[in-house]
Amino acid sequence: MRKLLHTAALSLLGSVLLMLPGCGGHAAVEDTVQREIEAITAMKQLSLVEYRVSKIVKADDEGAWYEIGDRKILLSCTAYLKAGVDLATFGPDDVDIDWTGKRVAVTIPHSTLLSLDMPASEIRLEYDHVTMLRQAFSAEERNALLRQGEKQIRDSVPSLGILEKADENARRFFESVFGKMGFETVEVSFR
Amino acid sequence: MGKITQSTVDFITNLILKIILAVAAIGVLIYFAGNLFNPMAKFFHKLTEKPALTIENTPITVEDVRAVGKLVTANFYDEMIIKTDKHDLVDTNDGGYGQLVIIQKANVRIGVDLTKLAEDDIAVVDDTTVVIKLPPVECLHVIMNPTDTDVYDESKGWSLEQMKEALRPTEDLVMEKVMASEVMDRARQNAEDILREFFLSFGYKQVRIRHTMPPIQIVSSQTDTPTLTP
Repeated sequence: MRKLLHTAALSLLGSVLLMLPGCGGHAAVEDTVQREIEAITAMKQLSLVEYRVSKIVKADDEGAWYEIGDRKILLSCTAYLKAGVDLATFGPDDVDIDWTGKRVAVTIPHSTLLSLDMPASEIRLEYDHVTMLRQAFSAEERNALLRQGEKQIRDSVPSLGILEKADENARRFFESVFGKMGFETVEVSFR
Repeated sequence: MGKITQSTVDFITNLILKIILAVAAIGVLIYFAGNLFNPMAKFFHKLTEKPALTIENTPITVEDVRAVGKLVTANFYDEMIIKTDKHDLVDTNDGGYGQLVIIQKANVRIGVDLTKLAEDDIAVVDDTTVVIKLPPVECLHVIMNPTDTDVYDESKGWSLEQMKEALRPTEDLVMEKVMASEVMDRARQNAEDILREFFLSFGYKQVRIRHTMPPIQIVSSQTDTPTLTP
């Protein structure tokens, strides 16, 4: 009986030892997707308006239940938004010319956000407060917060009026260009 | 050589049986323990999981609005690994030690600033030919946003200003690569193709494009001998 118990105990110990490497689950295998990215790409964008905007990135970290104390941070950032027309789909079919009447009608795509630039040099730490038992915000944590700020700026573009302003500037731009070419009537429409 | 006695045979048989029993017990235990420990591990993971830190939805202030007229004809993309040690910092050196490793992506937009076109830079000759004096192709802006910045590794205590100092050389680095690549030539060629296509669609037979040379910058050295830098 003692021997059988001895054997069972050894079996249990062996099974625990065998299980330990597997306790954390399967070893993570990262799929690496190999892709070739062309460093140089052709573009056909007409940038017509630039907005300079500012935003405060504000975060309060009360921490998990096992963390004592809280952390607060305020960062200010500036972003440059450029909007305009992507001419990739613009072609001869979008231009209707009446040479005799010196009239031209052109149809261009509606303006879109062409670029958002949030330079690191214009990001400032306005305030941070970390209680004694918490760790200071790391570079990675600050960057994660700034990414959220960037996303909020990007999501707010439709409400800023920049696209309408870019459409208005596109109209003026083409009226000016065709005016210089001798056309007396220029009609600009959007699709 | 001694005889193998019955007791020896019994001992070996018992041992083999015990080994088989042990292996079977291990197998059964592993099976049940896996089913037990997985949910337990998940439970502990959930218990100690930190909630994601999110920012408040603060308002965005429009500070300036400018009309621009930039024709972007090429984009140059690059990824750089920036490794900085604290003792390499100059402006923000606090005497500490540690390393910061960042993978920084950059997009450089290259094209022509059409607001630099003067009145007489577009001329129509004989109603069949358009002659355009195109402003020089230039780097319009370099984009390196927080979403393009990946903090790969850091030792503790890198302040925002220290991180900014570590990233400061990246714009010059990417510009060196731009100048060493053929992207400026490709951007110039793309600009020509776009304008040529545009004016040919109006029925013009020929479109001639001339390029304005970039302005010559006079740099005076300490010896007061001026040198010309194109």
